[in-house]
Amino acid sequence: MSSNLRPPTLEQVATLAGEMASNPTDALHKMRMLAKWLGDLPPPQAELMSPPAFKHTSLWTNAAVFENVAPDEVREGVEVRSQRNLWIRGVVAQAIPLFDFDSQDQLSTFLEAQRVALCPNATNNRGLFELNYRLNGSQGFISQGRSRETFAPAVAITGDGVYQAPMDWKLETNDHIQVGIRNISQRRNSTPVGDVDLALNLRLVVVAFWGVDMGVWSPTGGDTRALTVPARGIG
Amino acid sequence: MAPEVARQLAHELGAAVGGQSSRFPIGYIYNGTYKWLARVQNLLPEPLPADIPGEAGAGGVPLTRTINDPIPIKVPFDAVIQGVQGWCVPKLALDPETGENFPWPFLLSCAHDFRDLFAVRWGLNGDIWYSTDGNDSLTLPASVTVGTQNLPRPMFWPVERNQNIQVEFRNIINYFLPFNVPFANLELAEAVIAFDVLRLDPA
Repeated sequence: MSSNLRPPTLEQVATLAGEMASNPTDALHKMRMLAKWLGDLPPPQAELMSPPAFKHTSLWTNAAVFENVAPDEVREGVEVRSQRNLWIRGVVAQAIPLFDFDSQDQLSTFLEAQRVALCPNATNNRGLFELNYRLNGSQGFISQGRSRETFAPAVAITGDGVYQAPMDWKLETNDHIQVGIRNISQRRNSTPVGDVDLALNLRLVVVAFWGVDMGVWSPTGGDTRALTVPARGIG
Repeated sequence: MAPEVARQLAHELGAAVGGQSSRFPIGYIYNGTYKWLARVQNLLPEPLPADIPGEAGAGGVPLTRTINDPIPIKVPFDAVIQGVQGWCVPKLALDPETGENFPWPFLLSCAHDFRDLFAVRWGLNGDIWYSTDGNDSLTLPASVTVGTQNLPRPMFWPVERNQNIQVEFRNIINYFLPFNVPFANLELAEAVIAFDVLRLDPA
């Protein structure tokens, strides 16, 4: 029986309609209930579980990691291998600058200046670097519209985990994403915050691609186990 | 009229029922949502590796690893994990000489919910970890692996009863600071990640 907490099932609605068909005296009486139950039926399973319903789901975090990047240094060619067929749905990034101070007083003063110089939208310290990425060494996705690749501000082309910069790449096993970054922290020295040098080494930069496992995905279709729920769990 | 409509509906619905199993999981989306939490308290930083080999800091733990034990979550029922969120709470820095509190640990963070002050990786049954560069598993800042308290990272992760989820945490406050300053050894009062869980029950 359906309840207020749980919607009716298709079988329950069919049973009710069957009862009404076989008992005309009850039919008129139960018509209102039948209409309500029909309206309360949940959408079909496939509709709930298909990619449009879980448009931004992901499970995998495939990341390019950079350590100790000096001001204005360019670091390119860090590879992220796709260890399975993955549908990359978004990209997020984080930089961790090194505040090289010996005392807590110095550090506090600098951090106040740093707050002024940071763009308020540059969460995750994404204002300190720019980046580009390519696929299998050939396709440039960050460009000036021609063949020449360029770097773009991380704030503009990556998310911060609260949101993800949306992407739609279907990678096959052993595809490679190559990521390059440039430390641009020294550019903030044009910001009027006194004579504080805002150039910083970046101890860690992570560019992470959020991906959906596509099973044995192929362009012509195939297994989409990661997107559908089998009859019981993943058994 | 009503019995005729009902007869027609019964016929159509009967065909639909015969064409698909509605035993499962129709209706699941209306079920209650569970939260599974992995939490550590008083988490200390780990020693950093040397930026320059041979200098102080040699023998430290690489930036994308941890030596902390994983926090287990035993999966109590078949479920789909729909989201993951995380946060931490840093402690004030104390001047050992004056006893004065410094608020600067709170200024270090530039991510919502202080997620850039701890790193995390999560996996299943100890043999699969979901943060990777394609070759090795990585412990990455929570800001790039989990969402916030307000906006969890959307996920779709079916898990089975009695499986084990493991979560590893690392305090990364000292990534922001040089090796040799004593005040870099700063605790996190707590670090948490929480999974949003949808229970899958057979009807």
